[in-house]
Amino acid sequence: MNQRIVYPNPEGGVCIVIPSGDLSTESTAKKDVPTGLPYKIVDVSEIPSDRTFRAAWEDDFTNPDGHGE
Amino acid sequence: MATLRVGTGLTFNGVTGDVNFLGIVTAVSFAGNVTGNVTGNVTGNATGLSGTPNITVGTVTGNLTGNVTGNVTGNVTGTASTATLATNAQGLTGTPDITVGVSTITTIKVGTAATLDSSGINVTGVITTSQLSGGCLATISNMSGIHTLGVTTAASTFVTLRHPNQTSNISNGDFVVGTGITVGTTVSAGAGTSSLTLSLPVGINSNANRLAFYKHDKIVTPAIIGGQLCRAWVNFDGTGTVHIRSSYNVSSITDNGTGDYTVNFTTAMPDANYIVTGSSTPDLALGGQGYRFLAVGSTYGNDFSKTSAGVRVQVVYTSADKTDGTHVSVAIFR
Repeated sequence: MNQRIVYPNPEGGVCIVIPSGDLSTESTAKKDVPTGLPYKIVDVSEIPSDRTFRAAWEDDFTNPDGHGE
Repeated sequence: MATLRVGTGLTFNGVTGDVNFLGIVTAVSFAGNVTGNVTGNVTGNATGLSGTPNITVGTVTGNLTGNVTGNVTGNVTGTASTATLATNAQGLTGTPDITVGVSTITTIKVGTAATLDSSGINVTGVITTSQLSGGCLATISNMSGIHTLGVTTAASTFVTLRHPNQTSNISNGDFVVGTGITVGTTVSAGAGTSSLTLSLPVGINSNANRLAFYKHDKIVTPAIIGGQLCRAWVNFDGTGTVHIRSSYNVSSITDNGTGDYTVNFTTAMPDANYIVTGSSTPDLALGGQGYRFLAVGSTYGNDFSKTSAGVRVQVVYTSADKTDGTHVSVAIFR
């Protein structure tokens, strides 16, 4: 899967969902993002591969692709 | 008159009541309905019989030789050669069923979907277990196998069971599992006794080998095997660009942060009373050393996050600090 789902982590920072391919990215997002939280679907290339400062990752969710159901 | 011969063009018209033939009836064809009991032998092809809508035969006593084409309503009693059944019994229907009680039949053809012959049963279509006798279905005890100890000799195919209390349940062909026994080994002789011959030599010499025997002739259904299977598993790389290598019944993993992941199930578990097992290597790219443990839950408050929908796991050091793992493996059993 070349897509990732990003949503705000209630504990701070962001969570990155890595779909397995069992479901479509959209279905995975609706199912696996916590209810009510906004999410964005992005290309995997947009996710940093350097995880040194993983806890400091942020994103803007003012225009999300959807919300967790 | 012993024989009545009805020539071409000669018909009975205006006959009311029964016509009783006491001798042999010879006719090219019957154009019309034949209703009632036929006593005696019917010889020849019945193909020419026609009726609207069907041919109704009340009782036929005697032998029917030849082909019957069309629907037969009623009971058919008597014998038929296997060749006849194989060739001509296709498509016959009865109410409630057509029962063939001849044990010497070698071939039954049911439409084009199933055949039974000396090589076995070949079915194209669906067989449901309700049509199978219970004896051919595996039980839970079959799945757990018969466990006992055996005395073996290296490179020999012979094994003597030390606790032969269950030997009567061991059959030739059953599979044997144990230390020093090659995968796929079966019991080739000695069924029902404590002295067995195996299909392959035993690789060790010990008088305390723990052996398990599993039935080879039982059908395993989901009802029996369901609770013994891994319900979900995933192998993923939690370093760099986190990605799933392989998985089953996992819709996604969530990267919550360093060494902190959630495994989300494609099909939810029946409840949260499943078990979680797994392991992790260190971040190999960083030259990580030391042990890594897979912990369930998170360090965020009391959030154990173990639900029917997924489970949160963390890769930790011995100091309980979290770290990314190169090979993180998680398996769920319920």
